[in-house]
Amino acid sequence: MFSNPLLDGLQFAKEPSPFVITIFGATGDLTRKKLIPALFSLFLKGNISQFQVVGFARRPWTKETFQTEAASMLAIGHYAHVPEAQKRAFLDKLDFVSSNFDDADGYSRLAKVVNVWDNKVYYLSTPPDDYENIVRNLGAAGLNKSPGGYSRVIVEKPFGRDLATARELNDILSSQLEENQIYRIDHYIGKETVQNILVLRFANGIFEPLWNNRYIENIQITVSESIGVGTRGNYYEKSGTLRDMVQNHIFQIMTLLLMEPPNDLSPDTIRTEKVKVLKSLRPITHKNVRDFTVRGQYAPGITQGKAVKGYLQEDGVSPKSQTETFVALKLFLDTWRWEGVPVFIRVGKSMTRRMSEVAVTFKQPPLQIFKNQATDGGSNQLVIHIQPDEGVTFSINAKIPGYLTQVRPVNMDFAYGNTFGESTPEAYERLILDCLVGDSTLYTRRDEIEASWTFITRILQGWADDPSPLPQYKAGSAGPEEAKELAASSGVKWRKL
Amino acid sequence: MNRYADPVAVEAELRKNQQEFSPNEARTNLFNLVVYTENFDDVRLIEALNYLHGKRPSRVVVVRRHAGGETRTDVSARCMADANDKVMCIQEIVIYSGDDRAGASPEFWTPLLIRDIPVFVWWLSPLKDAPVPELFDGIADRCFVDTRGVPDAHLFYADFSRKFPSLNTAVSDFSWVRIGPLLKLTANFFNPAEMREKLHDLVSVEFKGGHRSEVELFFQWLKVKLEWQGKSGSTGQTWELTSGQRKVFLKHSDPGTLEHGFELTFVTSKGETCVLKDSKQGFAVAEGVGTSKYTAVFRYLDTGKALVSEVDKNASDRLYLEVMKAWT
Repeated sequence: MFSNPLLDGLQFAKEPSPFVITIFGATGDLTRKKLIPALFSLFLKGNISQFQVVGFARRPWTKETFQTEAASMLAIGHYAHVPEAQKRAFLDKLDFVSSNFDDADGYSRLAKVVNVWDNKVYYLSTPPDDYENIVRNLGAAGLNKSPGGYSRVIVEKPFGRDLATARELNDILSSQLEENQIYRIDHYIGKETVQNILVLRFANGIFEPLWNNRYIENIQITVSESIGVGTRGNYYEKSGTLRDMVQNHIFQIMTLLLMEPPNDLSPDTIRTEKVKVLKSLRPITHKNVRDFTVRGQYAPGITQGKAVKGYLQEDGVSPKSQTETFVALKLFLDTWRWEGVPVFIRVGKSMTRRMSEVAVTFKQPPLQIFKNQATDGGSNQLVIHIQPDEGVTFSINAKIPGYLTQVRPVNMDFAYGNTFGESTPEAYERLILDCLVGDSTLYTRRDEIEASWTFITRILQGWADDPSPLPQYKAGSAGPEEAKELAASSGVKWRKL
Repeated sequence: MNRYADPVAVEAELRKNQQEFSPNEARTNLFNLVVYTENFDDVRLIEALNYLHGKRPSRVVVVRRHAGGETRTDVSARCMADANDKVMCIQEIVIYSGDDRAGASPEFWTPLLIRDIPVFVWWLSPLKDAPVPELFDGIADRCFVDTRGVPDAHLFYADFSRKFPSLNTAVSDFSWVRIGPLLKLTANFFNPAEMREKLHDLVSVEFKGGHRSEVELFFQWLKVKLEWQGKSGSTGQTWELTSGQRKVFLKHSDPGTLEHGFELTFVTSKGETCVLKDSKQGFAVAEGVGTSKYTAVFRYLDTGKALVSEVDKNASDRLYLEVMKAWT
């Protein structure tokens, strides 16, 4: 095998080897809104050049139909003005196999298309119920192995509904694939600001010495949406906020925030540290679930200036639904570093505004020598804004000019928007590219999934044993009153939304 | 316009200007950029500053050499709001270096820089006058030059390769930055297993199009990476190199500029020919043996993009230094 010395020194960019990517469920919304645009963007940026995209779905589409549909996906938004020749060059790389997911013949036809490539990626963009059929048939057709290259599978969320179903799904995947072939995707961690948590913590010497229970009072993670479930009532009834947001997105943020410094940036080193965080979470069981969790449902109210329905009035939602649209959690980690530091999580729909942030509140100085310093709100806070207005704010106390020594908090601001005037890559672009170059750092490992479900399943079981109606909160508010009490039990106030 | 570059007055003027555009925004500046030029109409300067505008907030000091009369300064701010109404500004200070040549002296403009952020000096004046990087040692974090337009770029490269071990300031050449996408394209083109064999069996490379300075750097890169022996020359004549017992010829024809297209023809000792060329429709295509799958987006890097790419780097490009070091 000859080497390619020309690549030496150029490898700062991620340059995948030639590959074929098969999208199962290629006629769905995810392909239309995210996957095709992400692949096209990678192509436009020159990150991928030698590749083929194969759609695989039940609909009787042909290669030409898929190309026409893909062309319509690229005809809107900021791709609308890309020269036609560039679009054509991309569309020519698209092929389609029409088949049921359990039809062996479909996989034989797929094999003929993909086996001319050494490197193969399969993207499962289907409902989870189809995963088993797809994975087993890939195995039966020998497509789960690629002797001259790699064969990888990207699995979309939801990854199970609880620990048992997650394990079952993992077992199905493991029956045909090695763990290093499985890429469980969570697009939230593909966001630039989430990744910036690692940089902020470990590229700045100032924070890490303070990043422990000696200096940190509490941590709040908030992800609030201003809209309700809309037309997704049916789906939401089966999931709820804890499953839909906390088990995956919020835990991704939390583990990056609380993990020990990794020795290097290799995928397994980082993921091992993340798993340690999940395993050190103090369990919340049916005995104490009411002390550490609050759930709620939005009631009619006003969001974004409009009167909106309550959750129980939404289409597809049972009037007696016990599905939560709001969750507040108070968590503790049983580690030397974090012992005694409460980590508050607040996630909900139909709330005051759309925003995601992490706020780290530092302890007050041991002795207050400035007598008129605010007793609350005077703590230094490091706030990582995830969306909108990505950036970091650090609040410090400063003297108000004048003869008196009056102290008030002021902000030091870093805003991505004021500092880097260009759009950040879409999460899917980054994650797909990572898979193509074999970097699984931002993907979830089996033990990470199972550790998070272990914790979440106990809460779900605790809730299942509690038939009392869920607290209601007005749409457009900051959540139910009970959530305030949860924070107040540790002497903490939620940050204003 | 002020006769003197009083830093306090300049700061006040900048503050006033910027206040008009963005009264409530946090002020962020990522770097200082000092540009030496003979001519404000230099298309590279216009292109670069236009591109920078709205991308990276910065303080830009443009020193116009040989402006005549007395040395004087002018101050302005260009601000741009993005879709989310975030305002980003470039603070501009123009120094007209008069007959006393005071304005061109670093002592004149260093008090006008923002402290504690990087300082980049871009020598856009003729390279034959270039004092860089010695003059800016200790002042600039990095110096930028542009060998495009230099008639004998290879002489600059040869000179630079002798100097640079003793330099404290890193130097970047926009010609090198411009050919970055072409280097990647070529490296990727030869990456499939069937193409790697050909890469190690090349006997000639012909580069049609492209500026001489850029083609010389491209040839030098190939020579260094493929360990071809022989003298690096100008592209005015064919480079005759050797790889073991095999002779390798590098030829530049139809000089032009990269943005107007290029065509690279690679020939192996077995007579196999593959061509990699700009389709002029935003991507590159390949023709010839074993190349049927190859289509890649190729986007020419103009000076604005080259500038932004360089101000985002903390250090010199290791590959550039490796290539320059071996200039013989």
